[in-house]
Amino acid sequence: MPLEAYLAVAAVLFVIGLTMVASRRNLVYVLMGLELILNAANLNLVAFNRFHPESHVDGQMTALFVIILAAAEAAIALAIVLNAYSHFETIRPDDIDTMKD
Amino acid sequence: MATALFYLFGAGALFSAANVVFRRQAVPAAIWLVTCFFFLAGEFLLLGFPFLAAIQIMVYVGAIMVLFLFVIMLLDLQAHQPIQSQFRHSIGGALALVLVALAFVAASGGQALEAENQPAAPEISALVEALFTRYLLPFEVTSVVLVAAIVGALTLGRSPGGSDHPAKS
Amino acid sequence: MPELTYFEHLSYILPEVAVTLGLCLVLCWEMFSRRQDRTAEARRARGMETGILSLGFLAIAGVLLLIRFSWNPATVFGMVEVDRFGTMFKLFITSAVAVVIGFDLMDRRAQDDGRSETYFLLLTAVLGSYFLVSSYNFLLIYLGLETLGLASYALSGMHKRGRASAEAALKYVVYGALASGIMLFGASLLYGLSGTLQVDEMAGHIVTAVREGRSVQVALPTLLILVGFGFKLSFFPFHWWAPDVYEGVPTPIATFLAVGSKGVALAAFLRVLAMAFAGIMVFDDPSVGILNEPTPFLANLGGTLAIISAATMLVGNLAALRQTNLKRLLAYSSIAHAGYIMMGVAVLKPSGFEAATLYTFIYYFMNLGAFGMVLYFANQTGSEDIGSLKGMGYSHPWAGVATIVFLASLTGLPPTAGFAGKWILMMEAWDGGLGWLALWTGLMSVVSLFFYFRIAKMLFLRQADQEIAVVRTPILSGMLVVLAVFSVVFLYFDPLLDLAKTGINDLFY
Repeated sequence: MPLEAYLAVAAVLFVIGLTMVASRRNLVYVLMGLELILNAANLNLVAFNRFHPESHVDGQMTALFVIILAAAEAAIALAIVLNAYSHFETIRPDDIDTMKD
Repeated sequence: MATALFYLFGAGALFSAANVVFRRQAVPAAIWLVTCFFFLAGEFLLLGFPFLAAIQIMVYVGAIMVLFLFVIMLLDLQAHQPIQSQFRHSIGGALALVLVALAFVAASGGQALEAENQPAAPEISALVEALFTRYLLPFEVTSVVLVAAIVGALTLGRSPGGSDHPAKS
Repeated sequence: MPELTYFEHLSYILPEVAVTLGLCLVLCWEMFSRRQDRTAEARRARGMETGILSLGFLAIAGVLLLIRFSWNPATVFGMVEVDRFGTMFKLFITSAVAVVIGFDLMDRRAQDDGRSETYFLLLTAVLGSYFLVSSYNFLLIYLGLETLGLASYALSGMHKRGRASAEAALKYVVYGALASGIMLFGASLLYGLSGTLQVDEMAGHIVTAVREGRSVQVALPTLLILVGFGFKLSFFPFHWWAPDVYEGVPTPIATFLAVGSKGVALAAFLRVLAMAFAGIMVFDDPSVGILNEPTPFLANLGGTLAIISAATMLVGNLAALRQTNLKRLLAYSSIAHAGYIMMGVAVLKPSGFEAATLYTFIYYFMNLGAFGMVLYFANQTGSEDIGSLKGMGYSHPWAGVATIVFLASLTGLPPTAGFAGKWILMMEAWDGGLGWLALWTGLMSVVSLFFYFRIAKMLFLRQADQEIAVVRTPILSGMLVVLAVFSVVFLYFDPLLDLAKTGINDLFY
């Protein structure tokens, strides 16, 4: 398969992730969108690693670290969402917006 | 064979991702996300990275998505969130999506490389060796990050009264 | 460079080791010390003990960093650069967090629960920053950014009873994670372009790509990476999270986000920019003369950064005009200052980077002071509203005068360091062909005079509505006075400029 095919999949995933975050329908969706963005970056890294054999294991290794960091980030983010839910009784980002100029 | 599998996994990943966007309920959306991660693991496998594929399934599907489902169930989303997806917005979004994706490919590709011409991906032993030599320091830092994540999540989840018991929501 | 042994490698990262040991001990301290004793005094004492413990380890790390300052630059563990630029910013974050911990110990409105966790997370953020400012490797930069980020997200949500804190943490984590995800995607594209994650090895590929007219392959990832740094530095159009977050979180944490986190993000940004684009930057090398031909890509990059800088100043200063909450006002003020710093970056020359670095150090003193002022008066009145300051200058002369110094420095009035820093930045912009930006900065400083003056007016030109009992906080007043003295003295302090010069030299030559 040409490299572009993998890049196209990654790019579309990235944009889907972005739209999920931008649509702001509810916080769990937003966080899922973030996971998609990280996965898109991972697919890019891994595909490029395959096509740049001189870089040894760099891309694969980075993807590995990104997966670990994604897990840590998801844990913190979900804890914050739960915390916000216990204060606001909602998880629509537009309703959790009390601070204004 | 590889080509057919690539199209299968790629299309599957994109179809599942699109489904995540358009599902009205949270649990099915999460399940579609799991499917998407499975297909991506397939792509990693195709590219010759079996270890990464295994980690993807174990960590993403086994840990992160379980966490998501757990939170969705704690929040009891169905009762609260009627989700409307607007058709007009989706058309605009889809158009923007295709354009941006094309731009990314045009910008980042440019080298029409074929996988068949490339030597095989490095073995797992090479990965392990790199992890404990060149990548030793990031590896150690990761442990601190994970502890910080645990402490952070525990502190945030504790009930406001200051007791040591987790919040009962 | 001779091959280093494992222990020599280790000796280079001793400050990091000290911080790691410190954060482990802070975490364990609470576990082993009188956990069952839940009286208010016992909890306060535990908070104090862990605070002092963290300060001790930060001091050790600071001393080790000072010792390391004179060592020759080296690359250890394959990807950590130990050079004076990084060490400089490590000292910056170490001392900033020490002051933040001091603020937290002085905060009378802070809750006694979760203090040790706060200090643990602050130390984690320091560790992340250490790696963020000292690597050319995108993996380590991303790891450092995420460590700093995760700790900051958790820190902003720590105030358990506050709705505002919950909202602030939420906004911060969603947009912070988004920005770092976008940045990672950009980094992955650069990896594709060059086949390496080391920015220093990428540089050659970047130069070739620009020379061969494939600028778009560089421009797109650069833009995505700019989003990631832009969020942390809170420049336009990624600034709007800052006011909400600063307002919602406790003042010490807001201080950390405004000063510490911004400073190290700037350091990483400068390092990446300098290394990636040094091959196409147009500047005088002392030994060779003018190095490169101007390229349209560099002109566009500089232009984009200049426009971002101008817009950031405008947004920050205009929005600050109508704020009544002090922390919100300072948030917009720190956005405006990010704009001033970006002016030095937009010049895309070593001398511009020096000016930006110097201004960051001055920003450190005056903003620590300004947030300390908010904390001091909130301790007295229990409010962060600008109206609560009425007539407080007379009952609190030391803090009042120190506040005037910080405000003058933030505005950029002589004879303060803020004036000197801004002047150098404007001269750099003028020499770098950005004369309009220098003039614009002058105009914006005049605008900023209005809202900074409003605080001063409240302190000294209004009568207090009712008498408020004076609470003695000698340590906090002392800290404010010391910061105020530094905010003036640095006008006459050439070593600071020399320091910035040495640091930037490490990046370019």
